[in-house]
Amino acid sequence: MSLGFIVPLGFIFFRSFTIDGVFTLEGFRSLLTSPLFVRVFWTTLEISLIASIVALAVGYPVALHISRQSERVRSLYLIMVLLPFWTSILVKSYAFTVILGDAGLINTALRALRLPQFEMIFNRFGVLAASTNFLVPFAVFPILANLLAQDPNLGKAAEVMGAGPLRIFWRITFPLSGSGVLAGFILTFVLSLGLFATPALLGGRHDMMMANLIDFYTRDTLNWNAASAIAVILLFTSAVLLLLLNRVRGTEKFA
Amino acid sequence: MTVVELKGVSRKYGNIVALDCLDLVVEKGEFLTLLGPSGSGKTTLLNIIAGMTPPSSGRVEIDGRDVTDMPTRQRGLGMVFQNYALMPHMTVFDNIAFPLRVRRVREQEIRIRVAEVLDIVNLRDLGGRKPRELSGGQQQRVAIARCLVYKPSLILMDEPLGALDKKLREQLQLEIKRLHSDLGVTVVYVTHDQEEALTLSDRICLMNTGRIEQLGTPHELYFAPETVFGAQFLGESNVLTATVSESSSEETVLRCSVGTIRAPTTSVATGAEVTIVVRPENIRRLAPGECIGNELSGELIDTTFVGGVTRYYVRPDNGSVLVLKELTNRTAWAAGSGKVRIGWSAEHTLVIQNIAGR
Repeated sequence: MSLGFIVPLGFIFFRSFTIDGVFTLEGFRSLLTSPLFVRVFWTTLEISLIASIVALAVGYPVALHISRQSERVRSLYLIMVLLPFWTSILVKSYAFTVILGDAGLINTALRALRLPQFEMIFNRFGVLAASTNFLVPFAVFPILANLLAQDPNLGKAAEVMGAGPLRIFWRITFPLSGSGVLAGFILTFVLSLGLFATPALLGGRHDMMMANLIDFYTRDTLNWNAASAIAVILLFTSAVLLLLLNRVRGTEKFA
Repeated sequence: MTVVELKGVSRKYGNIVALDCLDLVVEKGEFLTLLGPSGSGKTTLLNIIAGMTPPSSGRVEIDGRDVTDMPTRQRGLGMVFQNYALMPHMTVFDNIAFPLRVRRVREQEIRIRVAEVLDIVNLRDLGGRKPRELSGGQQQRVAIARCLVYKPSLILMDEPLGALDKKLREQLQLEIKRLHSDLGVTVVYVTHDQEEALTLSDRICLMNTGRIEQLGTPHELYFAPETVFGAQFLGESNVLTATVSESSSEETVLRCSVGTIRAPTTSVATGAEVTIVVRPENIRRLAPGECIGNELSGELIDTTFVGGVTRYYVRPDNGSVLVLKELTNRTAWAAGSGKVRIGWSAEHTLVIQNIAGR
């Protein structure tokens, strides 16, 4: 298995530093000076950042609610969170065209009610909606793990001391869940850096992301050197973030 | 003055009865221990007083007010947990200040009061530390300080020393006892450790299978157990079944498998089946011909030397093994001594009436 990973990866590394077998940094140099790459890079960061934050904002209350259920109800809720998680991202992105498209569920309903309709696909909104949907389970799990690991006696102790539910949440539960939120953020951010199908299907011209750019270089311009260099940059960014995630996990019990 | 009064409190979990129609009164300034094996209902009882478990039936009163339906946070109690339950992200100071901030006390006064209780629990200079930087014993003292700081009328302690090693546990027991007598707080304390209960309590409420087995001073529970369970749970006991053969105003004579046994006078009728209990420390080794009221001969089976005390296991000619316990001395019987004589005076025979269902 490792052979199946390492050989192609080595090949990509080799390609990113060579043109026709000769060592060169030309691939990286041309990328960093290419306005296209710089724009796609910022777009990617922007979409990833917004989608991750929205996913966390949606996922936190979900995780909080699940953490307060009995074990039986909790497993039921977990299945509900996991179902979309097991569905292919391609299928989910298509599903969003059915919901958000011009002839989709929402716009049809708006039209029937004689209300103004919105363009919700082939633009930034479509990409963000679909990628947030994809990311929510990845935000829920680290937060839920953290909440379940919190000592239930802390809440009880605070309650005996007279604290109300809001104070218990903001002074105890939430500050203690910081490492779970951070882990969830890194995870969702790294995942969204590599999004390909969602921006391809639901994005417009201005929503191209890094993975789409790789696709463009390999298939349209046949510039394998530049495509490999982008892959290496993407891999490097993800690796740094995942290392950070490891550090967060390692310090979790002392948080 | 009464601090807590429970009236006919029951708690059922499905078909399981955790507490069975229980009445209990805790007086102001009292140290009451709920003692019992796991599953006896002592923690359930504590949670009902705290308001974290609602009773299935019955009423709970605190300071004369019916609080049965009052949420925990309005009851104004203090609680100490076995695992300390300190907020790990807050300093010692902030942990102790927490209940004061809930009560919207001014920051200036908070500083004075936190310093005061830190002084009381001997942690003067540790206010800036995080709980994880303290030892278990120190953490538990912080938890106690966090209770003392807002002066609740009642402090509940749920096996607070259960996670500490023996030496530290004994030291903190003395400290809790000192705090209790110095500050006059009312404490309801849960433990399964009989020595801890005997050391700390004004009264012990011995619990078994959701009922109060016996309620009384440590002295009463030890010297006058009302049930076999009580006799066996507090201290060690030799238990024999016997029949009352003669009952007079001077003494009671009983017959059992090991022979005739004399006991102090009781109200039990002649012919009744009873249980007799003899504490190992009340049984003595006898010199040949010595008579002290109850004498038995038997075979010495085993001797264990545990430092300050030595135990002897003797099987009487007819009956099961009896244990006796003596302060270690140089005249100890060697193992394999064969036939020996043991005995105890009549006043040390405890006669317990057999109650149906127990």
